Amino acid sequence: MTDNAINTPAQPRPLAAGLLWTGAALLLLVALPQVFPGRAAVSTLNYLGTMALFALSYNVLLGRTGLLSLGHATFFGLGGFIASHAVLAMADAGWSFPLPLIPAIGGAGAFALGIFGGWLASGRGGMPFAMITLGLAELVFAAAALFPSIYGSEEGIGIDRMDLGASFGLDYASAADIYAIVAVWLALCAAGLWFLAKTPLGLLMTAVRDNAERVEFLGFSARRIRMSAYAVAAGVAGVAGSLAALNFEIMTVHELGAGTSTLVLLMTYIGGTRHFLGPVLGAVVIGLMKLWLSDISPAWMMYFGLLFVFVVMAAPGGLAGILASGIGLARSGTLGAQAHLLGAIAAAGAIAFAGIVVLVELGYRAGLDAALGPDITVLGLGLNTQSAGSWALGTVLLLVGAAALRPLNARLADLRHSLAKTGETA
Amino acid sequence: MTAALDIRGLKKAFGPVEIIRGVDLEVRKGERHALIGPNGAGKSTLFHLISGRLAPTSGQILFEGRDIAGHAPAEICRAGLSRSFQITNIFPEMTVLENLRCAVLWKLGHRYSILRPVSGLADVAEDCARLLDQLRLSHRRDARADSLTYPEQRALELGLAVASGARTLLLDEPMAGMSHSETAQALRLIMEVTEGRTLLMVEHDMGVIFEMADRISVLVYGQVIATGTPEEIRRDPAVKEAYLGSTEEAA
Repeated sequence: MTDNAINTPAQPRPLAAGLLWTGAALLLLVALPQVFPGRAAVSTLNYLGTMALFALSYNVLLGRTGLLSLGHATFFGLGGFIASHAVLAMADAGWSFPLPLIPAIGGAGAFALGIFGGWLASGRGGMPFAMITLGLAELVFAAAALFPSIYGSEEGIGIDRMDLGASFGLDYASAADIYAIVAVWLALCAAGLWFLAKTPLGLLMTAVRDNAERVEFLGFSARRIRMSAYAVAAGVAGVAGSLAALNFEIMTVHELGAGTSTLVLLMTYIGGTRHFLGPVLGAVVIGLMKLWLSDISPAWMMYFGLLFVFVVMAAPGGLAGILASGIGLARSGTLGAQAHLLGAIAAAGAIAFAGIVVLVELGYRAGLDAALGPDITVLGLGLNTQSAGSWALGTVLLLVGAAALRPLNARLADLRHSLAKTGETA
Repeated sequence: MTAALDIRGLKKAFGPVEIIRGVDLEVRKGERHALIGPNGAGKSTLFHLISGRLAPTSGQILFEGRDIAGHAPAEICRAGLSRSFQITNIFPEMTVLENLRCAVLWKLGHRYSILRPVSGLADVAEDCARLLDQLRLSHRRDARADSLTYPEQRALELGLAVASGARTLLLDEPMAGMSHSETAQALRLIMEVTEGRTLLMVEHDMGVIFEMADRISVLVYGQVIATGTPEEIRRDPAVKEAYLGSTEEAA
């Protein structure tokens, strides 16, 4: 008992660490709109917060329980539609219902639907689960054509968030008012999910991810655990969908389509499924890429895909995994010895990446955007799609960078090996 | 006194191939019962049938008087019968402590609770500390299970079966793949943690079996050809012919 109550110094008390994280996160949520004022910036923050919550909900399945859902947008969309109809119905009836509580309705509705969906999908994990979630999502998407009164037709269901009147001293005209709603719900749900992970059910979800069969031989129903994870993920996704509905004041059927399901999968995976805040990181990075990169380059989807391939192949821990190993490196005190090699690897990587950018931009200009003419400026370089020199430049950069990476990586591995050895003897 | 486990006319066929061909076996309360037999006799299949991994084709498995044939593994575990596996079957990416926590949650009534963090449950902490101590794994408490040495992983495998609080344990070759000295240690550990419980164990090491078993059953070709004390089994002519005669040197 005493042995268990005292934690080793390497592992800070989970509760204290949690409080520290919560404090830092709350501070960040309050500070963000001060640092990025203006309607457009706050609107972007609202979008990022919504997607961060959506990705967090998805990670209950992917990272925590080891379940690959191919249709998570179903609950994001359904939550949004439920919230929209709730706003419309209550505005019609002339009720005064506080707008910030609307996501609770969307979330509860999605949770209830999630119990039903989970009951259907959770018999087994792995491939059957993925296929059933895909089938359910397609079913709900296809049903949109049958029920235009629920999903709206092409233009979706529009709401006016000011229809419910003012509450909590806010009239919800400005993006900043919506930010307050998004931030509070994000904080609440994140705290809830963090707590869930520590409870017996959370532990059992991890156990199902690790070895579902063994869970059964310990007296538990793996199906019930999967179903719980599915319903929780659905409920939180429903809250996120409701927030999206309040932010954009419109919900279309695309919100629950395969594109949105893919987006949340990529955000979560790229962010890192094994760290609690990894999905938040992924949602922010991908969200910003989507918003900003699409202004700069027509090829933004291509970079998005390349980033995903890079993470899958080179950094399965995701961006959060890279961050965590960086922090671990700094703490271990061997960063100094490795700094020159890491710098060289970064430089070689940058050269290879520049080559990729040159080739991708040339390719898009030569193909999709040929009407804009052959001359193009990439990374400050004047290039021409009809000049062999431009293509050669990209190819050479890519090859030189890639060729340099290989021996550098090998040397880094050797160095780490020898550092680990001296660390052991010391 | 009812038997802990009473198996009657148990059969299991995979398509046209009958692996278990009418097994009758009684395991008494509190005894250490060893199941031996040549490779392919159906020992592991019999364990899978008793523990619910497989459903029998026909026959009865009475556990403390109640038929559990064809029930789900979770149900059988809750009834008080748990098992370990021949091929280590633990939670590889979780720590040793987390592994054991999972195993004690049902017994202590927390089940699928979401009310409090696991780390704040005093009864779980107490039980896990006791188990870690018994299993000699206290110093590995926070290590990932897949980073343990092989004997440590086998100890944890045993620990998961014991931790669930079952009154009857099925151990499928708990010493498989261990060296001589490791086997001796593992045997001592098994005797210690299963104190006061009923034990049915598959094992190949004859030295181990004759040392620890109260009674032995011999399974050959999907049928129990003899059951008795180690002395009786040693003298049994049918067993000698079917089994011991051919493997005595190897053992």
